[in-house]
Amino acid sequence: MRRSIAALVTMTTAITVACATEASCDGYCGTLVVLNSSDPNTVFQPRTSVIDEQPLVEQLFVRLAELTPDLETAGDSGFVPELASRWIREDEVTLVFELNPAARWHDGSPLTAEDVVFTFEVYRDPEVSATSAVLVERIESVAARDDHTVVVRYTMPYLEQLYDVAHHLFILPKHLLDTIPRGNIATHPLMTQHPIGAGPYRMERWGDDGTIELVADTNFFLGRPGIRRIVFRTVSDFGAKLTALASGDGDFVEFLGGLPAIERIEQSTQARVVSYASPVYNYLGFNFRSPADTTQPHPLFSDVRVRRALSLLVDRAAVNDAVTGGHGMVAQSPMTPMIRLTSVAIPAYEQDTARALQLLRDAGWTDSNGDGVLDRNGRTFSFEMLYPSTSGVRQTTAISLEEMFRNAGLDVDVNAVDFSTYVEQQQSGSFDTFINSQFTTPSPSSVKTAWIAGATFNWGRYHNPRFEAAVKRFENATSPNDRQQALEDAFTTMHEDAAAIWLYYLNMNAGVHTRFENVSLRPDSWSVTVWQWRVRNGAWEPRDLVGN
Amino acid sequence: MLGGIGRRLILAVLTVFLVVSLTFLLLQIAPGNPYAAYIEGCGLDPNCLTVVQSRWQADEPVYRQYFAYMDRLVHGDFGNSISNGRPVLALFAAALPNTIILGLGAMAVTFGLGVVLGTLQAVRAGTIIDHATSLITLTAFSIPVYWLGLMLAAVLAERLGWFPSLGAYDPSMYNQMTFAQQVANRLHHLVLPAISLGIVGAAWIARHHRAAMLDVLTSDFVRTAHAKGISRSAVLRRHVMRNALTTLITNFGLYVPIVLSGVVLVEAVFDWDGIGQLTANAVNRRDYPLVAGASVLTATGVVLGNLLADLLQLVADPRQRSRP
Repeated sequence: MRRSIAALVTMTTAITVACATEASCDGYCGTLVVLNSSDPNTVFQPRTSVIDEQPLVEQLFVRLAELTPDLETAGDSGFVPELASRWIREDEVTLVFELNPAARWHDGSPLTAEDVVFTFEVYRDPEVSATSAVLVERIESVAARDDHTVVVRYTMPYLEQLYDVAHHLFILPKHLLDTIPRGNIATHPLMTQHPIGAGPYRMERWGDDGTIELVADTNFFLGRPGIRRIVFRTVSDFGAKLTALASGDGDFVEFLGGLPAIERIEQSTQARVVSYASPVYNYLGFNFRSPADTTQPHPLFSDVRVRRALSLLVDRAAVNDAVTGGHGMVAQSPMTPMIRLTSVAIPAYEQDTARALQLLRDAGWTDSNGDGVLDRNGRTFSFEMLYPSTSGVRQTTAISLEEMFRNAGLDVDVNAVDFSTYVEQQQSGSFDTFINSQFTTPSPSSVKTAWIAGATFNWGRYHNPRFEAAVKRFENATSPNDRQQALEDAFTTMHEDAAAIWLYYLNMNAGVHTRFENVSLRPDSWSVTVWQWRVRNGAWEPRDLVGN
Repeated sequence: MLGGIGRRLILAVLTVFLVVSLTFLLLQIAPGNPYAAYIEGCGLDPNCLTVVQSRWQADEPVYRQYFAYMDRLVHGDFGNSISNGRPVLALFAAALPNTIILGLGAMAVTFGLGVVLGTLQAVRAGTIIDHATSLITLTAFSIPVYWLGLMLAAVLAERLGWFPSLGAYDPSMYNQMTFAQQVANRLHHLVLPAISLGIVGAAWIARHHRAAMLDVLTSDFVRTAHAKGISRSAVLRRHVMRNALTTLITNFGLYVPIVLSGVVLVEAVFDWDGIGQLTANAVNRRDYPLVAGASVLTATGVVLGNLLADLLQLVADPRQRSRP
């Protein structure tokens, strides 16, 4: 008994002493523990679908060039060299890239122009079904002039040529992937357990518990990363994630969510809040097709008068206040604050209940029986509002909207479903309206992925030829003036169509441990600049010294 | 006795089979698509959806999927997780030790604290100590496990920094630690989850053990032992505790399913990489192979727990051995 007590005391003392000992770094140190929401499945970028996969891809692989913090996607000047040390415009449809001869794959093999050619072929291969294939469709060909020179030809002149080839393609190792059937690359161990890239970090360990450890490639051709290791941990429960950040058990959370979480981290001594422009817009989407038969128009929302009326019923400022508590902006279009469009005039719907009710009367909706709910030909104005139960932000949105619609005599059935069911209903079109968040890229052309007929994320099946023609003109524009005019036409069309009810842009607020410096977060991708972060001298934690 | 064990084993196998079949059926009925993680990236691309579904044989009739699955199960093939493609057995092999550690830690708290409190109450029956302890155990019994975990994490981890708030160990340093450091690290991480999961059980055990102890304390043989001049502590140790043990053993068997259900909540709060969290995430994602694997393991665990309790009863109480 006495020996057991003595052993317990000794162990406790050892733990206490170990915790109290001040850590110091004699060499190359630093560990960043990133708290993810879900387990990454693959780092094969053409087929990534889980949001937590992209930061991994960006540490393991490289692009030809990288956007500057200005996020200017038009022209050739808004980029800094990465794999390509420079680029030359031979004519209006040809760009020539000179690759950095020091670039190496993590297995030591040299990275050559053939890898870039291979990458382009993979992204365009129908067997791969790359989600970004549509974004590179105007690249006609990619060829190797020699080992370190790549010639890219486009189908036509347009302003975002460099952006298309530099931003959307993460260069893949031909010597490792060439013999693998293209349709199987995403699930191959080279993409799910032991990836080989050329990025600033290489894979050290991908555990069955979801923990992923990356170690800095000290020979990275652009310079040694500032932090020696990055550990990705999956924490499914958001409360547990916040507690870990606030207590110093984790170092980074990409998105803190609403006001309570932000205030909690602001009060913490271990972490601080870092804000950056939002790459996300939130909206109430309409289903333009009938839930019962997607070949038929929706009985309510195929009528533009109804859509405009609902748009006029919403007090966006009030919704923004309720949801974001001042940490957001009212949205008027699917263009997020990170996109450089300050000069483009975007029309907006301001709340006007009288006009909304008039529009509904014009469409035949009145309260004929005095029960407080609008009706037409014996049918009440009744619809479902769908959102995933995992989102507290969308729940608050639903409550706000439901009240505004109910006050106008609309019967709304708010339906919170688990995420798996939400995705299934979106896929099958079995919903009336839905509250959604959509990420954008730095380019306005990202509107294509969600609002063009047949687009991957066009859940509401929206289709307007005039809008699509304007988007096409924007993409093909060769001057900033043409570009601006085309964008204004596109958004004016969307506005007249009341394609959706744009609600808010939620400011992105990340939580970062206080010991990290040189922290900057690019809105479209927080992890692009991680390799430049540092641990402040003297602020070391014990985990920073692992491998020192 | 052997016949009794044999019967129990057959019943155990049948129970597991029924649980797995029922789980499969419920997952089929539940709304939601198990391939959501893949098809979300597909969007509205019909080719992509077809590729994903044929890869997982989801286009087969349900009854064929069921028989195919049961056939693989009988041959020890639990299949691969739909979410991440990894073998189900490998995922559970990684998670099971963490759950066992948590379960054992919780049991240590439950039975250690419960027996101490129950014994204290029994020997001080009717005093203010007994009444105060009853009030404490009743309160503790009413505390939701999830809430208790959150409060412990908020105060002892976040505010005071005495304990880690996350995980079964620190993965950022674990592989570089010595064995002793790894043990210490795991124990350090175990404290808060074990207390969260064990406190409620301790209250329950305390109340049962108090009753069992009081029952034995008033027996004739105990009075005889006192009359023979044996010391109070010796009577407690050698006679009273031993005979109150049978109730404890019964509670042990009943406690296993309680731990397994509470483990899901505690593992979520502390992000403990055990079977509970693995199962909860699998259910949310409709990951059929993982959920089915979890049901097999959980059902087997419960059945084995009860079987173990029965066996321990036979060992502890010779009178049980002659009963069928």
